[in-house]
Amino acid sequence: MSHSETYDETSLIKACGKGDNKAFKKIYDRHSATMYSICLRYMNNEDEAKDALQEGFIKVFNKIGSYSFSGSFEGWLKRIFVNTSIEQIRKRKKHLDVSELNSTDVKLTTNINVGNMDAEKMMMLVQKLPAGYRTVFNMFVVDGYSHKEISEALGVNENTSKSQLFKARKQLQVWLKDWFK
Amino acid sequence: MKKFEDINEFEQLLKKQLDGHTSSPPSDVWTHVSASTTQGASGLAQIVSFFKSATNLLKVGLFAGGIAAIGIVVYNENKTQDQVPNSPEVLVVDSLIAENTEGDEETEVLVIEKSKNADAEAATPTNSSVERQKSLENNDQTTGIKDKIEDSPSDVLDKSIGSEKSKTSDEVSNILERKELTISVSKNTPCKGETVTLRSSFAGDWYINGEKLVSNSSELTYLCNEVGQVLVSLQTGPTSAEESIQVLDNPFTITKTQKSKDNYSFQTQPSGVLVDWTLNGALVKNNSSSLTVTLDKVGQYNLVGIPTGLSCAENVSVSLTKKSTGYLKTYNTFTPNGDGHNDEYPIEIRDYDNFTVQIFDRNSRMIFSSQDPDNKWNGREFNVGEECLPGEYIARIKYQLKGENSKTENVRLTLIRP
Repeated sequence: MSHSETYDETSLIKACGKGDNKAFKKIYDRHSATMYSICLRYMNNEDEAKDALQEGFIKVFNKIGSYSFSGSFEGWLKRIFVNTSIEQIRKRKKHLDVSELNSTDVKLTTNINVGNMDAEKMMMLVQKLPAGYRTVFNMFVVDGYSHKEISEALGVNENTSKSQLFKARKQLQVWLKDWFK
Repeated sequence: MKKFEDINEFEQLLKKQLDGHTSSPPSDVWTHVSASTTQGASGLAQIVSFFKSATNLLKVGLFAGGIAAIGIVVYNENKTQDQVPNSPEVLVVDSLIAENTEGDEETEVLVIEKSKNADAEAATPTNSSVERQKSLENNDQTTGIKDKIEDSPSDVLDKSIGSEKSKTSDEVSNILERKELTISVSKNTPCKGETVTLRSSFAGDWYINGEKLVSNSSELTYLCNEVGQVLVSLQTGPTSAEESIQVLDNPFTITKTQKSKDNYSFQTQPSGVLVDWTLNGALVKNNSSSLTVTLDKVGQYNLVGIPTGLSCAENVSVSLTKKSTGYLKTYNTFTPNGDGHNDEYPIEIRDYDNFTVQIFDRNSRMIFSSQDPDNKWNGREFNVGEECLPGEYIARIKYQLKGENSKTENVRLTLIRP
């Protein structure tokens, strides 16, 4: 499934590390859509996502020389874009906008028909989450960060991270329930 | 159809779907990135400075509206392939992308297969959901999901891909439609007491100022009984739309000030309310908050202020009755005998503008006239001729009292010489 360990990508990365712009363009073409999707998940709107994507790729170009080829290249890229997104959110001072949603007592179970649940619909649901919930949910559930890593990246304590995740899940369930009603 | 009872399961699917999900970025991103990195090759300091300016540049570009279409996220599986340039130097990349696309399709198949299995599971009742719920509450740790691709006969796969794809595209358009949940308001700035109708593109639950009024409806009628902003929100599934209406009420009054006897000033209160002023139906001044008029005519005045700037204000009218202060008093007899009593024919008039008196004898011959009420008839022809005979005479008095129209009065009088 992954093509990141192929010889060709390795040589592209090496060329890119030497400042080869053509190689960098190929890396961009190959990964920008996936990375843009990540940015879209974290940021509030397309404009912000576009900013994050742009900044992220500039970072990639500057840091690619330090890529050690030890893990998957795509995983390395993802971290950069997640981090860039978080930096941008922090710059916009929105990530700690921890809005309490109407927490009507919702049971954590629901019967959901996901026969037609596709990525776009899921993207939409995630994007609809308030910024605070969304960041934690994205990092923990989708991008596989631990609460410890999240708390370090966001500068909050682990319990905050956990409670944000819990609330995000609760909210998602309410929406899912409504959606498939 | 797949049902699942545990958000963990939903999250696993979500992770699978979103992991590796792609959205093609706006085309100008590369332009900016490439501009930065080309500069950056010559030194780190330049990288930093240019990177900052590139961000600014992007913002300026956005502001200028140069970027017309930042596409909505439309899932297109073949997008990746479309993006690959046709130049020979990226042939290698081409083949890699092709591999990748195949990989994606496998993922989708995997989901379908899982769905089928879950269908079968759902047919037989399980008690595991409660336990799953508990485990979720107590344990936030999500375990990583390992893809387990199950081999299936290819013809079955093709079929399921085909049907699933068409459903998916329906679903996508459905989502996009749903995304455009809109509320239309019959009037955004209604007046107090007015009823507005709100319609939505989808039925949902309506909230007015946070209070739920109607459930599952695509229409709401609302009586605006309170002045101020009204927040309307509509919840339908995970989407919501908001709209606000401003209920207006613009009461105003007109105050009258009498500056002099006939001079009046009118002013709207609160001051600054602009109106068109009409006086007895005729426009006298437009779009002003004050009016000064001379009302010297006796009679009824109806002044109306028609508000020009306030949508919810009603016309305000002021009535004013101007009464006459002048009068004319006439008598029927006089006795010009030199006794110092009633020797002249008396006419009393006050507050007049014009006055003329003419005295006629029976033969309709004028024997006296005057334009001065104080210059009275003494019983002689034009006050200097021969004494007139006793008998009946006619005094024709033309006069105009202040603020009134000109009138003529014929008074029959008797000259008495005892």
